[in-house]
Amino acid sequence: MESIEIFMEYSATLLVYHALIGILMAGIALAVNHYIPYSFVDKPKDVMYRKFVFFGILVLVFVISFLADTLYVMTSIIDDLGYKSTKAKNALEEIYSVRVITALLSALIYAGVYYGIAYYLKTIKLFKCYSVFKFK
Amino acid sequence: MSQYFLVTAGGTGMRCLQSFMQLCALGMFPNKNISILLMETDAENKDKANAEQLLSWYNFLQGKKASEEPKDGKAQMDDVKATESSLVGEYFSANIDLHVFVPDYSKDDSRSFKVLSQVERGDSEINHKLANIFYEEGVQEFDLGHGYRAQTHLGSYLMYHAVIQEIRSSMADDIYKGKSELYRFITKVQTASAGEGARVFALGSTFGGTGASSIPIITRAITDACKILTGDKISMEKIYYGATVLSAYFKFPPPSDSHLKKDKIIANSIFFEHNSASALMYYVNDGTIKKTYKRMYILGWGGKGFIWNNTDDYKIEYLGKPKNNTDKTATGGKAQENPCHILELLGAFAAKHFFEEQTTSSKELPNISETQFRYKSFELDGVGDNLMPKIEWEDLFSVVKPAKQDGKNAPKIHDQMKDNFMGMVVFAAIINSTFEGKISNFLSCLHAHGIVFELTEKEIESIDAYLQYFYSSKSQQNDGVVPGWFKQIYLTFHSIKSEPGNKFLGIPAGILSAAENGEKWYLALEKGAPNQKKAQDLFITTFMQTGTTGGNFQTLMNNLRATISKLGIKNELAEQIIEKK
Repeated sequence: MESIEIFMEYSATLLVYHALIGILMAGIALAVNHYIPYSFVDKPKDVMYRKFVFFGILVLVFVISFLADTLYVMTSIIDDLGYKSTKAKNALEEIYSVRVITALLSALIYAGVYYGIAYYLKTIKLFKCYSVFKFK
Repeated sequence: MSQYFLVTAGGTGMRCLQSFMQLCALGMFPNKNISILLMETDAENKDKANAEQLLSWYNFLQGKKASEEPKDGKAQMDDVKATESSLVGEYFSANIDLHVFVPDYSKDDSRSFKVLSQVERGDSEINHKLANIFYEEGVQEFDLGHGYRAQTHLGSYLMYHAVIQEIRSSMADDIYKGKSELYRFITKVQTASAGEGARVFALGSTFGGTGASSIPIITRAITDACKILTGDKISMEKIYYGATVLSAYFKFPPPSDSHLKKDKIIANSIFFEHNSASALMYYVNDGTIKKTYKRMYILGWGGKGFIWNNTDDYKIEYLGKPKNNTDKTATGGKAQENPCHILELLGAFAAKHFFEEQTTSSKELPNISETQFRYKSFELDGVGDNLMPKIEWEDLFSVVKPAKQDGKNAPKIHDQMKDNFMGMVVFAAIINSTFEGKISNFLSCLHAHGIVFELTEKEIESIDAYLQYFYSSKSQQNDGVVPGWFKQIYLTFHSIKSEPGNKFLGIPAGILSAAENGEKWYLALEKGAPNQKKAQDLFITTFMQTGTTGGNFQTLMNNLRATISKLGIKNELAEQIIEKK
C-alpha cells in the first residue's frame, strides 16, 4: 500500500474521531450551560460558570484529542511495523508529529459547533449559551 | 378632547390623590395631561407631604422638566401607540401638573375664624351676635392651622372665600399672580372651557373637615374664580363637574377629656357616620348640586362584613406607636398619616371613569341635565358572622366595549390592569427581597448579562423610594416591615388584624402579607415556579426574551411590563369561578 493511501486512511479516521469528540463535547457544554440558572444577585456568577464550563471543556477536548491521537497512532505504528512498508511507518510518524494540530482541530470543531448552536439559540432569544462570548 | 382637572381636598383627599398618582404611575392614564389642584388647610399634614413627595418622584421618573409644557390633545393621541390600549398603557406615562393651594392660617390675623372675620372691628357686639347665630363659640376660636376639624359649616365658608380672595389678590398684583398656583390652575380651567371643555373631578371625604368643606363649594368657587378672570365672560356649559361622595370608612380613638378641654374642637370619628348621612342627604336633594355636578360616585364602606379600621391599631402595629399613647388625638400636622384604603383607590378609579371617553363620552356630558349617581357593590364571601367582602379586578374599572384600537383578541381591560398592578408588585418585591431594595443592584445584575440600562442618579433615587412606598420598606425602628401603599390597601381591606388573602383581587396569600418583604413574589406568577430560585431564572429568562439590550428608565419599565404579561399573573378568584363551572 502506498504511503499516501495509508496516510489518507488514518487521516480520515482521525478526522471523524475528532469531529465526533468536538460535537459530543459541544453538546455536553451546551446542555450544561443551558441548565445553569441565571443568577439573580447584584454580582451574578452564572456567566462566569458558563465560561468556566465552555473553556474547561475546550481544554478537555484538546487534551482528550491529543492523548487519543498519541495512543491510537502510536499503537497503530507498533501494530503495523511488522508487515507494512517503511513508507507507511513514515506516514504514521508524520501524523504522530502533528498530533497537536489534530487536537487543535478537535477543539476548533467543538468551539465551532458550540458557537453555531449558541448563536442559533440567541436568535430564538435563549441567551444563556451565547453569554460565554461576551467578554465585558 | 376635554382637558382633565382633578381637585383634591383634605386628609382623605390627599390619600385619594396618592391613589390617583399611583394609577398614573401604573399606566392607567396613558399619555394624558392632568392638572391637579391640591387644597389643604394644614400645610404640615403628613398625608399631604406624602402626596407631594410621591409627585416629585413621579416627575423625576417620568422625565418631566419644569419648563416642559403639556402637550395638546392631538399630540397626546398621536403618542398612544397603535398597539396600545388607550385605557391602560406604559408606566409613568401621564403628564401631571400639580398646583397647591393652602390658605395661610398661620398668621396672627388669620389663625381663627374670629380674627379672620374681624368680629372685634366695628360694632363687635352685633358682629358677635351675628357670628353666634351660625357658629358656636369654640368653632369661632379654634386654631385653623390644623384644618377645619370636621366643622364643615365653617370650612365651606372659609374655603370659598380663600379661593376667591386668592384670585382677587392675583388679579391685583402681578408678582402675586406669578406665585399663585391656584391662579394658574383656574386659568387652565378657564382656557379649557373656552376650547373643547374641561372635566373637573373632585376627590375628598364627606365626613371630615377640609374635604367635606371644600367639595360642596368647589364648583361654585371655580366657576366664580373663572368669572373674575374673564369679567363674567365665560361659557360655563363647557366645565363638566364630577365628584366622589366618600362616606366614612375608618375610625380613631375619641379625644381624651384633657385634650378636649385644651383644644375644645377636635374631630371625633363617632360623628363620621352622622356627618356622612347628612352630606349624602344634601348631595342627593340639593337642587344646585344636582344642576352643577354631571356625575357623582357614591362610595361607602358599611354593613356586615365591611369592617372599619381603627387608624391607631395600624399605627401601633406597623408604625411603632406606643400602645398606651392614646391621650392625644391627631388634629393634623405630621401626626396625621392614616393607612390607605381600597375606597380611596376606588375614588381614584371613579376619576378615571369620569375622564375616559369610553365611560363618559364627550357627546353625553352636555346632555346630562341632572346629576347621575353611580355606585358599585361588592359581593360578600364566607358563612355566618365570618363574612368578608370580595373584590375582583373588574370591580375597579371595566368597560362595556373594548377600545377602538383594540382588536377582538386584545386582552381585556381588567387583565391589562392586573398585569400592570402586579407587574409593579412583583418588581418591587424582587428589588426588596433580592437586591436589598436598590435598583442599582438589579441594573448591575442585568449589566452582567449584557443588558445595559442607564438611569440618572435622580431616577435611581426616585425609583428606589417609589418602590418602597408602593410595596414595603424595612422599618427603621425594628426588624419589621412598614407596609407601602398597595400593602396598606390589602391590610385595611378586611381589618388590620386579619388578612383577606385571595379575596383581594385574587392575589395569592403571602405576596402582600404584612410580615413579608417580597420573598414570595413568585407565587403571583401564572406560570408557577416551585421555588424562588427557579422563579428567578424564569423571570430573567423571560425578561431577556423581550429582546432588550438596554436603554433608559422608560425602556426598563416597558420591558418589565412585557415580561409580566408574558409570564402571566395568577388570579385565584377567576380560577375558582372556572373550577365551579
